[in-house]
Amino acid sequence: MTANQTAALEVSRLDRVFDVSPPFLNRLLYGQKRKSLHAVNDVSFSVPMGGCLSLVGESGCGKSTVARLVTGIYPPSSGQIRFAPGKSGQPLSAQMIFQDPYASLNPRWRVKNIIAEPLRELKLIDNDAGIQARVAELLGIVGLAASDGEKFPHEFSGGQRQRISIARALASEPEFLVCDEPTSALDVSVQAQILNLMRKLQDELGLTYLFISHDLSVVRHMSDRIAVMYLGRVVEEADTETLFADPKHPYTRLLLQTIPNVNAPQRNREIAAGEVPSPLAPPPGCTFHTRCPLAQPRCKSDRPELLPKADGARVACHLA
Amino acid sequence: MLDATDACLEVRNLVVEFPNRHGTVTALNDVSLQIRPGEILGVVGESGAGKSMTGLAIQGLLERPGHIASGEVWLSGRRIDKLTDRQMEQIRGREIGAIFQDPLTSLNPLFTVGAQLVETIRQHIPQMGKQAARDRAIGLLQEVGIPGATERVDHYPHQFSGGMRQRVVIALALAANPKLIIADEPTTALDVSIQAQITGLLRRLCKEHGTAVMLVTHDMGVIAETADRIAVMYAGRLIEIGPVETVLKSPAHPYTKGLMASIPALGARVAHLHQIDGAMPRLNAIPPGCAFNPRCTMSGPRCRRDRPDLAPTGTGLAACWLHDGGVA
Repeated sequence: MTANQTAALEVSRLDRVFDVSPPFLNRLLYGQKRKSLHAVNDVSFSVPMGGCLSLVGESGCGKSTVARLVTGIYPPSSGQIRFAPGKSGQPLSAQMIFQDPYASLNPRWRVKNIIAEPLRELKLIDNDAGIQARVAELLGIVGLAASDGEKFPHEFSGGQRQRISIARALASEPEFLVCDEPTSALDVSVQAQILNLMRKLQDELGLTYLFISHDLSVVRHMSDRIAVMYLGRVVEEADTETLFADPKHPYTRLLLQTIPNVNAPQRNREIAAGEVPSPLAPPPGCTFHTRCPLAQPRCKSDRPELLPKADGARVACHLA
Repeated sequence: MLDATDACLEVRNLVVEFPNRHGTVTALNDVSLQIRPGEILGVVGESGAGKSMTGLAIQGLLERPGHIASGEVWLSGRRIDKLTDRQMEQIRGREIGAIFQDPLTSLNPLFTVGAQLVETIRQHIPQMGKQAARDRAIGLLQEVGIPGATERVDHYPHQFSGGMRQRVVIALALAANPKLIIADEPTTALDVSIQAQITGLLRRLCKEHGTAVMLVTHDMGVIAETADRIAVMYAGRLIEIGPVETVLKSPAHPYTKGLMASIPALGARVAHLHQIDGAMPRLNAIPPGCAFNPRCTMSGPRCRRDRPDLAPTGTGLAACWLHDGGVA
């Protein structure tokens, strides 16, 4: 990976609160209180230009919310998202690849129209012949035939559909791609095809990725830097090799421990107990203290800050 | 191979067909396997390979017009594939327990988990009284590791988290002490840290009760951690079966080899993952000869002509001409 030091995307102190209160009448008649869900809490990270940063965590940790904030689908409650200037001098343009290629493609549209939609909507090419040529080129880039444009999404397998989503995302020539679990709906042999394609596109088109996944082996293959999230906060951020060689936060260690290793199955290991607490009522202090094997009295009251370490990692733990 | 008498489940040459307007689709073709008591057989394959179909056919749950066209299913020495729906109802739950992918849809949201457990227990063990059944329900919840089982027994499914719900589903599957449990993607809907808890639980319970388990999943990691033997399926056929170490470390079939190589390793990082080009053929367009031959890098003329059967490879069986007289 050749990632130079300038940041393509800088996110600082990002917060997003969702109002999940019961309806007005329920509050009025039954005296129910307003409730809010702090989905993303004080998250800061930066993605190096031409590199790949991965957000990892279990469901409900806020990783998909961060993706949606970065692409502007949700406005942030507070905090800043800054894209570096791209080739044109304007901020980098971002596009998104979604998890489920069965739900993210309109079943009633032909593939050529699905891919042409951003070209037409954003008025990037104004003649039909130009659009057709660009669609054929995009299909070629993702390894499909130009004639596939005439077909409907149901005629394709899961992996091919994900190729179509990638072609659509590339249509507007973005320099930044947000990939929200792009392979978790796919079979392993197809997952490898898509991951290889994404790496190839990164090298050829100079793309920068924000990659979101719960699968650490996929993340390790794709990313230069990894941020581990737990209950809306980043608990550890480090270069991929550092994180795998020397995980510092107990939650990162738990995650690494639980990955089933095909080559060395650990049959009779001790499994860390407990589950993720509800994000509606996060524990006080360090949010991980309820499951942490090393928790001290201090962890229950003081929230640890995300502090830099000597090897470039940032860790939010009193004991690290 | 074992005698029919040792095996808890024995499937012989099972063929499942779905007739439709355009002809007949063969969803399962000549599948044979056995599971011993206390053994976990992992069944892996891509979506559409027929792994869930095998589980459904054994339980007599094939959706019409699908049916078993030929072959036999034996459960502890009794043939069960020709039984009536009525007779199969006696077997499902009592002798074959089932665990499905989504723990929320496999529990009734309107009843407490205790009521659902008591109903299942009394349905299959009618001589048990209400109080005894409730005690057994609490015992089962404790056994699957639900803290505070005496209170939790009166809670509704929505009051449990995903991992806890899957534990309740496992308790339900165990309620009547079945001989065989068919677990179809039991961990797919769960988070990684919970996944390991559930596979560990499944493995412990199966060894303690001597229950045979057929674990259907697409996740090689889960299989590696849980199963004793692995069966690999491709396009409706069983293409390799053998002990877990052999199939994972030195797979014999080129498809299994490709599958293993395409998993991103946790050790060294590589620039390019091994990939198997193309996709599994649709069941109505399976090529002649070996179904894998268009994607196989080692195929020869014989692979396009004749279909290989399972043949011994040393410790396991594989359906590939490379192990059965050459591809020429």
